[in-house]
Amino acid sequence: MNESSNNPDDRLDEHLDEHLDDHLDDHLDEMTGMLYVEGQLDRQRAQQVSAHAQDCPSCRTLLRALERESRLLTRSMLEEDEPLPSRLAAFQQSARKSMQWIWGAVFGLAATGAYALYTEYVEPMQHRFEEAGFGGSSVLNLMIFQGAFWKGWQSMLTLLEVLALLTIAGSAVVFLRRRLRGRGSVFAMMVAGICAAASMPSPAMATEFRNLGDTVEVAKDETIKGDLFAHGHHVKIEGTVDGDLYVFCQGADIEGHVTGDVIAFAQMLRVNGKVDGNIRSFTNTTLVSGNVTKNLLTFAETVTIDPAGKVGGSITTFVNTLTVDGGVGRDVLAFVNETNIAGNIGGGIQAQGNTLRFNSGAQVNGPVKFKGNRPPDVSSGAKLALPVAFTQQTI
Amino acid sequence: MSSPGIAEPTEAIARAKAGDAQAWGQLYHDYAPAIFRFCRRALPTREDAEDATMEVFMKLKGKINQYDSSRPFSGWLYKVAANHCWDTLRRRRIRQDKETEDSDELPLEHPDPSQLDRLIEQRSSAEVRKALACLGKRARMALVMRYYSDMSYDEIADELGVRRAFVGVVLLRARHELRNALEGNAALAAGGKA
Repeated sequence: MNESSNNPDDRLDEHLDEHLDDHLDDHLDEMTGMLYVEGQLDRQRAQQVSAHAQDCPSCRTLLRALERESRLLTRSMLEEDEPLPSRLAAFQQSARKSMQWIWGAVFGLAATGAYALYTEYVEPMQHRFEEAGFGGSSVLNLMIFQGAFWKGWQSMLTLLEVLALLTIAGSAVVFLRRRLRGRGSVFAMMVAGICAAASMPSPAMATEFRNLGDTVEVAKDETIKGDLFAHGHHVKIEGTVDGDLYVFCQGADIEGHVTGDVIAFAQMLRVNGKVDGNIRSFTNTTLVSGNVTKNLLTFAETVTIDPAGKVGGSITTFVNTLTVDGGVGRDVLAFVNETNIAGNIGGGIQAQGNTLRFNSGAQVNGPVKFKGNRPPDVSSGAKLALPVAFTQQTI
Repeated sequence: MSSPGIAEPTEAIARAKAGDAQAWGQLYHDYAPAIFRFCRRALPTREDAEDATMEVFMKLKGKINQYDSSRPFSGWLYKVAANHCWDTLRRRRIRQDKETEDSDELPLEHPDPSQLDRLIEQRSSAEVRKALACLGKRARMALVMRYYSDMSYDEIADELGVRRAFVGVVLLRARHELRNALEGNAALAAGGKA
């Protein structure tokens, strides 16, 4: 009967063929009836069922009952019997806040920095200039336009760094506290934060500041000798920064070459070029598609190492989602809700969080320790040097 | 595919892909109630459903770039939720599931059409929801995917990891389980062929 079957391996089709051929003169079976009311039969079969049901009250009753059952199921499931729980409503607020905390921190920091600048340096100097007979308003202009030559920047930067770290560390604790849940995780995070603060490089003497409005750009053929502090809506580095790069912005793209470290406070940091030093980022999203010679330390929502991306040293992360599709030269230390590995890890992995997944193509040359809520998910195509040492996380 | 009754959030998705916090908030506001209900139907407890809803939206942030904007967003979102819920259920080894899996091999008895019709007529939505909680994980998941989010047989086969031709069998067995739960026994299915 079924001349139009497109799926010879289809067991159900065989069943239907047999049933319709042998028994349609008798009664429909329930499977055929259900597939009919669900619109899963081809036209020829559906016509046969329909024709049979017209002459058979029992089968008509069966089809009607099955159809009513489908409708009852749909109605039962779609009915709004419970309001959205308050925890989820609160999560909505925190979801918004979690995306904005970086900006809250950055603006808070900027305001604090501006206040510190004014009270500690501008005001006293203004006073001295006024005493020397210069007008007050010209001093502010002098500070803004010739600030890069002023030696006091160095001590002011130390103050800014401390303020930045304290602000960001505080925000990170609040942000990650709910995600990581365990007290040990928070403690470890704080210790790591302090270590990160201690390891911040001291600013170089030759420093350039750029804040040119919406977009700060280092052009392809341009080379900045010394450190660069860039602040704007969007920072784009296509040329070379021969020193460290500090960025405070919404979106940062590093497509050129940074010979020193990158310290980024941004919503989105994309590294498509080359960074010879370390990356320390406090971002919402960090995406590495280029080459980072040393280490990556990041507090973020999402961190992704693309298949083309490479981190020569180690990765230390405090994030929600970590995805490593590219290469990591040494170890990965992750305090992460969801870790997905599909790339090559030269060292081992120590992770704490909710889930750890090794996708096909993942290769880990060192030991893997995972403390989490669920056992790790290891694809058959993943190559691990040793089985994962899993510890169930107790909350 | 059933949706929460709103237009396709094309602009919000584009902004969310670019990392716009307000757009994420908007998507969450519009779709969280539907996803919570989906998870509530699929998972055993309210707390599981709450956790799953949050986890689905967290997953969404990592997956949003994979979304093909030529297809309905709610359909794609339900697939992410179904994947997450099924993953959660599979990791839970409970005795009931073992029993359900064993019963897969048993032949299904044909119901008496009139009895079935009466049973359906007499049952309320609330009773069905209560009975749903008594089902095995695969039966429950299959019914939720089909009758809540209107997923196709192909999509259900994908999620459950069964052949497409087997989806009808899974759904029919699920209906039988549900009827048994509604009745409290298997009397209905014992009517035999009329």
